[in-house]
Amino acid sequence: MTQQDESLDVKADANRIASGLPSPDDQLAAIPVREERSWPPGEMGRRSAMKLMAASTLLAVGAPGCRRKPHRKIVSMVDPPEYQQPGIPVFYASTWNEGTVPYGVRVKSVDGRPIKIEGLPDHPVNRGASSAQMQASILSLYDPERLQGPRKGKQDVSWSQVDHEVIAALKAANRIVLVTRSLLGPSERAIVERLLKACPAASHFVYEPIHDGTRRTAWKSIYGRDGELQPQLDKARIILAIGSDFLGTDGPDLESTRRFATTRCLDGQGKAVEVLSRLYVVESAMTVTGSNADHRLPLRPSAMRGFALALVSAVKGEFGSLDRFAAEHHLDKRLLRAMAGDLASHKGKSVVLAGPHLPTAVHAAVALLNGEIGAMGKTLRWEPRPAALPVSRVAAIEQAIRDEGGADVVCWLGVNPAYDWPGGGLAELLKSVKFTIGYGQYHNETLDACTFALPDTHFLESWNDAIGPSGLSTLCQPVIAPLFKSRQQAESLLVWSKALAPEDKELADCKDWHDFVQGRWRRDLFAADSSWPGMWNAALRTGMVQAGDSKAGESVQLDLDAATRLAAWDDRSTQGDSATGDRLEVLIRPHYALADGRFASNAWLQEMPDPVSKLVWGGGVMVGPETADRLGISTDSLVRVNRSDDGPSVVLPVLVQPGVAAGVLVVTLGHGRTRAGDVGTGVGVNVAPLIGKQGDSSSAFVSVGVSVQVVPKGPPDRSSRLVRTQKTFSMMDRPIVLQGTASEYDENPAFVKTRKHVPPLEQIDAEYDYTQGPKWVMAIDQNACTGCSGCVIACQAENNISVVGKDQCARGREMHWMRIDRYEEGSSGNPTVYQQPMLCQQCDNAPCESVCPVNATSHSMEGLNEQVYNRCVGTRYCANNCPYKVRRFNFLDYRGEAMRDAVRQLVYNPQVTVRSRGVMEKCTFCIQRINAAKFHAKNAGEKIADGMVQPACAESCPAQAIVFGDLNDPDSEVSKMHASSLAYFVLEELNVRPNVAYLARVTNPHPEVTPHSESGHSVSSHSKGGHS
Amino acid sequence: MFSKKFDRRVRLAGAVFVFSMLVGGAFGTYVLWPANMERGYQPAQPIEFSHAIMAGKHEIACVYCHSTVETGPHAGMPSVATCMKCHDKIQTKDSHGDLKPGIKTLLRHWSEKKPIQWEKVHDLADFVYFDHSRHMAVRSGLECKDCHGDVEKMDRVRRVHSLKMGWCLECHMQPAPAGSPAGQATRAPITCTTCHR
Repeated sequence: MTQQDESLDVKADANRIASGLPSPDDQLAAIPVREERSWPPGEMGRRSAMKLMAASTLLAVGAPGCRRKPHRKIVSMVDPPEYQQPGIPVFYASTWNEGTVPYGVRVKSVDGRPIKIEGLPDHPVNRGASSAQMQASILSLYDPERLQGPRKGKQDVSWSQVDHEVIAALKAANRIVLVTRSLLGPSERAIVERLLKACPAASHFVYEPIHDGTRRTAWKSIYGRDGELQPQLDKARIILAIGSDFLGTDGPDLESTRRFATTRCLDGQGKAVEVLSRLYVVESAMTVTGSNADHRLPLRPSAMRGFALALVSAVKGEFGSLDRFAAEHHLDKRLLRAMAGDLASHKGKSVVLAGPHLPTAVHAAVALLNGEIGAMGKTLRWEPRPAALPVSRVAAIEQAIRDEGGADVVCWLGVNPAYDWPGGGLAELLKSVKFTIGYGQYHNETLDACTFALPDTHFLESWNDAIGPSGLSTLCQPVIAPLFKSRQQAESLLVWSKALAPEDKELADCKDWHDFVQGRWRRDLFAADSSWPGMWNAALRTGMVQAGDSKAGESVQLDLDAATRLAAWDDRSTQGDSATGDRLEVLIRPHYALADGRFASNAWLQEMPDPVSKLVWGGGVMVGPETADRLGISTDSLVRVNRSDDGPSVVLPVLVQPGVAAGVLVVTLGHGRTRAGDVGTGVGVNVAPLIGKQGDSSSAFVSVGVSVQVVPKGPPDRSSRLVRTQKTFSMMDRPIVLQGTASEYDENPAFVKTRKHVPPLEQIDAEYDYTQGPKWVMAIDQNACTGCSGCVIACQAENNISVVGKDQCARGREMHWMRIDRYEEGSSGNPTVYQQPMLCQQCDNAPCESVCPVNATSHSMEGLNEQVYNRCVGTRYCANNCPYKVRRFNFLDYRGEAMRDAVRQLVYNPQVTVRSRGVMEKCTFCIQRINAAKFHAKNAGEKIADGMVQPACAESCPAQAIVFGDLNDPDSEVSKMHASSLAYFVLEELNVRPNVAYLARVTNPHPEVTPHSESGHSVSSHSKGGHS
Repeated sequence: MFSKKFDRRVRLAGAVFVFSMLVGGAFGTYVLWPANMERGYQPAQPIEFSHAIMAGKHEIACVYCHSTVETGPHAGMPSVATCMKCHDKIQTKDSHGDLKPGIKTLLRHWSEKKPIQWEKVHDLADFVYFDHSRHMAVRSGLECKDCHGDVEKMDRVRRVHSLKMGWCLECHMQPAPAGSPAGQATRAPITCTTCHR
């Protein structure tokens, strides 16, 4: 299926040729072998000297020139599919279900080889947007470190042997425990049910290390049935997030970001104060959501319930408890009152969201709040059919495995409890079970401890389906045949169920898992449709089908009594709460890139700078500056965090992060894997021992009463060293990110012009006339951008950008063409955050071009600053002369041996040259996409329509903050944005004439409250502590 | 010291030596010049496929086999199935009544479902992104033979042009033909990113 047509597509040796370096073999030959004897051997006479000279002259002059390029083959297919053309991409609709929310994807496949994942434009949840994790999953597809075949202990075994032994074990077992992830598609759920039916001894549990268990439980008891509340942020004017990182890790972040961004858009219609939404964030950690807040209040997790309850009465008009709360916690009373007033005065147009780590009482109080402000049905939508199953209690799983003689067979399907089991200590429990089955794509900690380690397929190799909103069913189809001897988990369940229930006629009819999925779709979704298989083919093409759902449109009623009762329940974690107390609380969060650690084997995600801390390759414990002062610790100190006096503890490096609430330690799960391949093993520290076991209403992710001891620093070690790609977070009073408030905008829409002084700039050369063809420019709306960093990885995937590793990152040699700069202003306890995507500005007076001695970088007639890799000799003058610092240099051969692997190198985009050591590289506005569109349009005799060219960053952006197009087209979106009164250019005062316009940020703080009025240290004094 | 005759001989020998060095050097430089190294490359193919018979004698159009030349970046090598469209029926035999060796190889590839690995004659460096469809567009006024030579006269395909950047630019840098859009100075774009990215 994937024979390569025209091997020139695989730019395997391109970087070598591009740089003019000899091939690896030649390089090896050139390196003198270190031998004992000295060279030249013995005494050198005249003759041998002559010989040597002659030989070296021949080698130096003759060898490089006299050799023809390596001869290569063209391998054509034997019998190709008719639609496939060499070098022309084919797109497939599918579903990404490896995260916590299923998203629609459009997979770009060239010559039978998937090379890029984009969001599916028609999918109602992500609408063409994609996250960093979706983008990076293409790297995992071509990872030879994935488990390549079934294993029993250390032995490779065949699938038939696995089936034989597993079926025998399942038949003989008295108790079987089946543990799966929460995100299961309807077909997967169906096959699990079949298996449970076929083996009465089996019970099914759902396990996730990071989950919204308390919230789901609370909703169930408040609204009377299981389901999910989904925020419709585009309909909201006032948004209050209580610990909810809805723009980052909480729920469908791509959807929330898109909806939120629409409320931050200023298109000149109406007054900004009335058009813009206002985002209040009350949170303990510093998150992406908090970074985008108009008003942000740091508050410890245990105080959230009191805050929410005080707000409930304040919204009703009773301000006493809110004032008391403000006084107790030293918060700005006016701000809290303004918040309550805003919520009360925007009934039906406001929404309150609470984070999944909070106890049920907070969710109940928030439900009361949402009831009071009329959010249900307006800004909140009830989804009766959530994509994820509710998680089981960890104690229940433990009980099922341990009690009454213990379970005979335990199947860990797609989960990694040996790494992330709350409180650690699963190993003991695992040892007690005789027969364990571990299923996963990678050989992880759990699979290591299991009897059978079975390889699952990548989602691009699998048939599957998923649940979308409002009765939508989405399909996941394979784009490539399995690369290794892996078998999809559901396929195995089918094989085992068939053997256990031979009498089940329907199962017996299913030849394989594809048949099962197809059969289920036919039965459940197309029952009334006579046009089978037309409907199925349509679903394959579009990736989804909207089938009548009896439950769609179902609404729920708030059970006021239940909610009040639940809200009043004061759990252990809030007892004795005192804002000024010395007590510390720890909050466990998922990692922005690695999620709960499941993506730790992915080098792109390891090297993605954390949107908040800018940490790469590892994490630590984040504390606010006040807490750090109190504990006498600073960035890079080592501390031991004890969950309770005799409980588990972990040793972590400290990162002083402005904005973290006082008395709170924030840790992220995802690092410290001990078995995650060459990439993920031993990076950072595992914080799973700090996770508690979720109770009925208390949260597993907050522990109160933790203690901290400073650990003397030993020799530096790899796992606990902190490396950040950005160390200074101050703008140093320079006009980099310009911002103003909505009222300032209403007074003077062109307020930006008053923010910085651009002297009259003169041009020495004659002006170049760019009006003859397109003039490619970009505009970035800083109101829409949330700093999620999806574009960073989208760019990496599209442009074959190398991974450099932790040590090189520490030297500032990361290669990302696109980065998100983060600036913090104001008090360090609660800074105002600005984020700015920074990439090559394609300057028309580019300072890099004039210093290149070999014309490797030059300006195109369409306004692009071109970088010609095969011409570059690596002087690095250009990078030194670039004021934006967006040029990246290959200091070493970052591609390395690993990426020359036959499987790994398949990930490269064949349309982009792979660079090698000694070559400068940078953003080209995805010139390969521009050229493809241009060639297509020219061949067809058309003009390039606006929006036809989308660089990878713009295509992936969930907020649609990045817009690209032709400035010469007055109707293009980008030229409208360039003409906006908010548009400005970064460092335009240098007369470099950049081509990326930034729209100034317009915040919408409450008119009566000055944002961040509370006093504190200044940011700069503390961010300096972060310089390492 | 030396006789006149000897002196003359020495001078002659010297002149011959210098002359032969110059000629040899010039010849060597010409032969080893990278562009000339590329020209004339004519590898043996796994099947002795004759373009002279197919394209010359039978006048089969180039696009019949190289079917994506007008629509995609690559001209496309025919699949084994394409060969079999005709050779399913046309299976010539030699004087002994055996199938000709090329036909035999083809049938073996077809029955074993194994692709044929052709030697690449017109190979560009990996950092060059050449697009056939742009050059086959009507307005370009190019024909296959402008770059590939008279393939229909070749039994075994030979590279007749160097396909080096200088050779490309000979065309690209010609003045723009009449009727070109305003602002277009050259026949084809000469911006680096036209071919390099």
